[in-house]
Amino acid sequence: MGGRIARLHDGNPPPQLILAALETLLAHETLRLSERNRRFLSFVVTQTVAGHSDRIKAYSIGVDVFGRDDSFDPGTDPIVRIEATRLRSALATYYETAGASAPVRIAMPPGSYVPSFAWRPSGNGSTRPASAADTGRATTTGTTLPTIIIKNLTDRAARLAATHGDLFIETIMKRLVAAGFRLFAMPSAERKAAATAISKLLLHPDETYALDIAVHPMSTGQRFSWCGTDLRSGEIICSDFVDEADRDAPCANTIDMIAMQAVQSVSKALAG
Amino acid sequence: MEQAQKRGLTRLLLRWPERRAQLREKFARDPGFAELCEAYEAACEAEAYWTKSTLPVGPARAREYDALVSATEQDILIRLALS
Repeated sequence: MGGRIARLHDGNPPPQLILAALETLLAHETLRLSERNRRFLSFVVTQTVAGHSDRIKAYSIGVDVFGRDDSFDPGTDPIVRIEATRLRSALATYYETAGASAPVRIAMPPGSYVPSFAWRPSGNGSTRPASAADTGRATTTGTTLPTIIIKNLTDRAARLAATHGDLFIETIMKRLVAAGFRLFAMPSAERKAAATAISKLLLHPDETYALDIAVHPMSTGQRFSWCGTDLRSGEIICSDFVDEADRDAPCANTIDMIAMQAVQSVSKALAG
Repeated sequence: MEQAQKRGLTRLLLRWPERRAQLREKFARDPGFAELCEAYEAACEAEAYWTKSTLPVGPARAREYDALVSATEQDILIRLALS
């Protein structure tokens, strides 16, 4: 999961979200699929994600999924065609009911066994974040606030900026948690399990927003920037920066003040 | 394809005479439902084919398609309930 989370929304869903959507779909108790149709769905999705959609034919599905031998004739044994129709119907029913809020949609267009993947269509075209009342967890005031996935994009090679970035994100996290937001930090690539868990969070973007922060070294100081993204649409919901140009090493109090400004900006955008 | 969909609908009209109006209405406005009717027709035809087959695998295939006919009927009832 390199780069900014918002980039996941450029074009079609990325492979890791498609596979996470598949996992969620198959685990959902309301999805009416037989065990072999679950294998069927897994087969076509994983083959497509792996770039092998050309291998998805009635014959290969009959042999690899439905246990037919090499004498399989789809003409007299239309098992694949029938089960594909049932699979399409089950997916359509799921996305009309329990899976209505699923952001990544897996479909099998009529006339093909190669699945298609798409983001959930926006109901009213609005790209504004959901209201606080629609999302997240309850706060002490009785309102609810969404989940935020925070990531520090400061270049670690710039040592001073990296240190200030750590201080900056620490204060932001502390303040956001105190405000009632549920917070996750993007883990390093080595922490694969945590990254996978966060990938699953991205499947429920009504409740989840991305917040990227960074400290950029400049010729006369540093720029502290933050950028909040609505994960349903990729729209930037708040983005701002503060240039600390007076000295190269702003004191902790200055960093805290800038962090507070960032938190107020994010809170206002998400909680109104 | 359209003919197979209509044959499937006809089977369903005979199968559930009390639901005829609902079946016709759903068939007319839900392409996914029409495709299920076609799948139902294909399952019924395959069941008949394998029931008559003299191949060793025939009885097993016939049982498989018999189960598939029932499962497709359940899918159709669920789709009808979403009307």
